[in-house]
Order: sequence, then C-alpha cells, then structure tokens
Amino acid sequence: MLQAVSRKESARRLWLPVVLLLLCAVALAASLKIGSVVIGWSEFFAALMGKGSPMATAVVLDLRLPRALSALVVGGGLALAGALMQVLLRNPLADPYVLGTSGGAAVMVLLVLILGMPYSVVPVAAGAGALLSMGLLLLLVRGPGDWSSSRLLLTGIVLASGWGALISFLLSISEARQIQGMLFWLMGDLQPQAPGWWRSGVVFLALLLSFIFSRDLNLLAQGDLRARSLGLPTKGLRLAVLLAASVLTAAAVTLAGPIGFIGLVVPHMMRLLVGSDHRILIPCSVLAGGALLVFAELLARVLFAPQQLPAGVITAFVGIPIFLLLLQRSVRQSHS
Amino acid sequence: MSHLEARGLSVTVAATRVCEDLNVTIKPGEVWSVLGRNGVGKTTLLHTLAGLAPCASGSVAIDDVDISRLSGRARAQQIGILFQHSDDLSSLTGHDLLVNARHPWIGRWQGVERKDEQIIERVARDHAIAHLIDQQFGVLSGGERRRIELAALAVQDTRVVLLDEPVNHLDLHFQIQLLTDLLRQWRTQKKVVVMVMHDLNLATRFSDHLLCLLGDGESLSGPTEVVANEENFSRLIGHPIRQHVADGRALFVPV
Repeated sequence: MLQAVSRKESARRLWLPVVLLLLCAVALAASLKIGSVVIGWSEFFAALMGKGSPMATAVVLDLRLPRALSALVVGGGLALAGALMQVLLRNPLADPYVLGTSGGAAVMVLLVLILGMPYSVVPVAAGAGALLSMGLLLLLVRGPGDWSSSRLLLTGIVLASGWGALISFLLSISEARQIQGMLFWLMGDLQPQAPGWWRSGVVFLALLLSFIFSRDLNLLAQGDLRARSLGLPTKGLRLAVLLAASVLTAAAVTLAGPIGFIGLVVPHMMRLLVGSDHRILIPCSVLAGGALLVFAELLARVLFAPQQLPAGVITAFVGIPIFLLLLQRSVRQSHS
Repeated sequence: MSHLEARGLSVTVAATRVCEDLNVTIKPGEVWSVLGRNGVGKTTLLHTLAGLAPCASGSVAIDDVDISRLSGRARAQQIGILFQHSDDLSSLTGHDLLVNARHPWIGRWQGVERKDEQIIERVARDHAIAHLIDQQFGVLSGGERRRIELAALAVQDTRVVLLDEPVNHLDLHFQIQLLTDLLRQWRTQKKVVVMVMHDLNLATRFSDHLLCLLGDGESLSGPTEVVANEENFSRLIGHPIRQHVADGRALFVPV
C-alpha cells in the first residue's frame, strides 16, 4: 500500500513542473500574440524570427516580449517571496503585499525619485525598504505573548497602511507632472521594459538556493524547536530566508510596483496540488507565479482595450476573495 | 553503547531553579522518569538534556563528550526528542514528518534516497501506521498523532530518546500498550530513555530509575525501588501519599 502511494506521489512530482513549464510557454506565447494591435499568425511567426514588417516586429519584440518577460520574473519572484515568508512567519496567509514588505520598498523608491537621486540607487533603496519593513514586523510580533495568526496579520496590515499613508504624503508633496506615472506604478503596472539581468539573476539565484535548502525549509516550517532538535541551525537560516524574501520583493517592486496577492494565492494553490513539501512546492510556485502574472498582465491589456489596466488590479481582484476565504477557514479551524 | 550524563548540571528558567548541581549517569538500556509538580521545570530539564535549552552551569555529555561541543547535525544523530504538543503540525502529512525526521542522516548534496525511503517504509510497517501517513496531521486523533511522532523518533534512529509526557491525553489502554511495547523494544536496543511523566504509578511501573524534581533546585534520583516510597512521593507531590499493593505491584494513592 505504501509502495503504491510513494509511486503515485513521485509520478505527480514529475508531471506538475512539466505542466507548469508548458503553461509558462503558453502564457508567454499568448502575451506576445494577443494585444490591441492585431497581428496574424504568419506575420507573428515572421516577427518572432525578426523577418516581419517593422511595425509587427516592433510590437512583438520591443513592446510585448520585454513586458511578458518582466511579468514572468516578477510573478515568479513574488510567489517565491510569499512561500518563503510563509515558512519564516509560519503562516499560510503571509504575503509581501499584505504584510507591508512591498509598501516599505515602494516608499523608499518614491523617496529616491522625489529627492532626485540617481536611478541606480533605486534597487538598493527598495531592498532597504523591504528589509526594514520585514525587520519591523518580526520585531513587533516577537517577544512574550502568543505568536498568533491574528496578531501577525494585524501588525502586518497596520504596517502596510502606515506605508500607504507615507506614500500618500510623498505623492501630495511631489510635482504634478510626476504624479500620474507614480500612481500607475503604485497600482502594480508593468511597462514594456525588460526585467534586466540583476532582477532575473536575483530570482534565479533565490530559486536555486531555496531548492538546495528545501529540506531545511521543511524543517523550519515545523517550528524553531523541532527544527533545532533535528540539527538545523535555525538562526542563520531564518536570517537568510528574511533576506531572500526582502530582496525578491524589492526586485519585483522596482520593476512593477507593489503587485499584491501573487505570493499568497500561488503557494496556496500549489500546496493543494502537491502538499507542503518545499522540494516540489518551491519550483512549482515560481513557475505558476510567473505564468499567472503573464496571464494577468495580458488580461489587463485586453479587458478594456485600448484602455490598459495595471496588472496589480487584476491580481487584487483574484487575490482578495481567496485571501478572505482562507482567513475564514483558518479562523474556523482554530475554533474547532 | 552510549550513556547520557549530567555533570554538575544547574538549570534555571525565568526565576525558577529547576535543578542545582545535578549529577546523574543514565546507562544504555535504562529507562528514567522525571517527576515533579506543574511548573517545576520538567520540560526545561528535558530540553536541556536534548541540547535545546542552555544550562546555567555544568554540562550534559554523551559518551564523555559535552553535547554543546557537537554540531547540530551530530547531536541530532544521537539525541531524539518527542515534544509534548503537536498542534503546530496540522498541515503536514505523517509521511512529511517521517522524511523530516531522517534529516540528520542526509547530507546537503544528497537527496532523500531509496535507502531512506526503505527505512521509512519499514518503520511505518513496524509501527502499524502505514495506513495513516498520507493523511494530514490535523485530521488524525491524538493517539494516531502520537504513534506517528513516535515512529518519527524511530526513523531518526538515535541512541538517546527523550520523551515529554509520551502518554498524555491518550486512552488508558493505549497508554499501557504503548509504554509496554516501546520500552521493551528500546531496552533490548540498549537505548538511553528519559521521559517526563505525570502519573506516579505509570512512572514506577515502567521505569527502572526516577528523577524527582522537588522544586527550588532540589532533586532526588536513584533506582525506582529505592526512591519510590510514601515519604519521597508525599514531598514530591506536596500532598500525603499512601502506598498500597495490588496484583503484586506498589500503587501510590493520594490520601
């Protein structure tokens, strides 16, 4: 009986990442093909090969491709950041947007722009902001008293609204010509801009490290004392997870603004499909997060075309009902 | 074969002195029970023996090696602990827990290999939990959870086994069965077993040595037949205790 189960399990392990990889490819292809400028199939393939009309080539390769790749990197990165925060905080509702990590990064980015500092400072500022917000959260929820779900969420949400207030303040003192762009960015907007090497590198490196340490993450998810009893140096690992989640959030925010709920929804869906083993959960979450944001970005472009919505609006519309459902369920569980 | 030793061990938690200058040697094949009132620090002492909580002075040693000098991994290969609560595991399956318990034996660049899966399968069969391990912890009963956690200890395969109230909240029948089976097995495997117990009669029936924490750092230890008497137990509990004999066994009953 046990044999059958492990065989079934290992079969599932193989097909899901493959399916998700295919899903990413389909999402990318759809995102390149579909848009307000209609491009036929033959012209589309010609443009992909670089042999199409200048207009089609420009639309597919210069506008849609960089934006789709950015969505892939940001989506994957946010899903990974969410999965890591859920281990660190031992709460399936943890998400960089809900708990204010994205907000901290966004405030720092706005500050840099308003002060007119060089653009190269932006990533560092975003990283510092994310780290600051996460550090504050951990500091506020530790110490005596119970480490309950509601206390963590409440603290995180208040922190997020604090960053929100700071953002409003910064917007109100900035120049009028800057405001439109900032507002769109703050709603989670993907521009036709390539993800860039450092962001792709950050997401790839974090994925690689999380995969190598995935058994350690499994142990950490059981709680500090249990993890230590199985020989895990939890202090160092927790710090590394904190850093990784912050840097991933910062990378995503600098590219697309604070996009919400990917980090919450994706790991949750994957947990339903493959269970809570991070050896499989981590790669699946990254692939699914990438595919989801590519689709969300596509939807944002075509839903009210030619009007474009920020992708963050779509992810919020999907994410908020799921978040509320999860919250409802966890409350019911803790009372049963 | 290894022995576990407390050398001049003093442990304090918050303002409570758990033990002071405690010297005990626990030999392979021995089963010890730690007894004491609520809040006297039994769990803290167990965590200290496991290397998970600091000691104020003195040391804990396995085979004359101070455990604070061991790496986490080396320590986890030698000392396994059953925690009192398992509420925080509800989203995991039993299989997840057994795989995790194998962690100390798997290198960084090694995966969970066929050999590890075989150990897990064998333990699951021996412990009769094969039908439970694909379910989430949250839906299992307290007894089923305890069985899986004990199986996880077997998978971890340590020479020292520490148990924090192993039969708490279990049906009486299951308490007796579990202690009988497991302790017989561990005695023949020459493991060092220390368990925190609440019930005087279970402790005296199933352990060959007792360690009584009397509060304020005082303690009393020795073979069960020497330590278990009306005077010591009355002092331990803070309530007069009478000894009776039933079915050839000493029974301790509060007056």
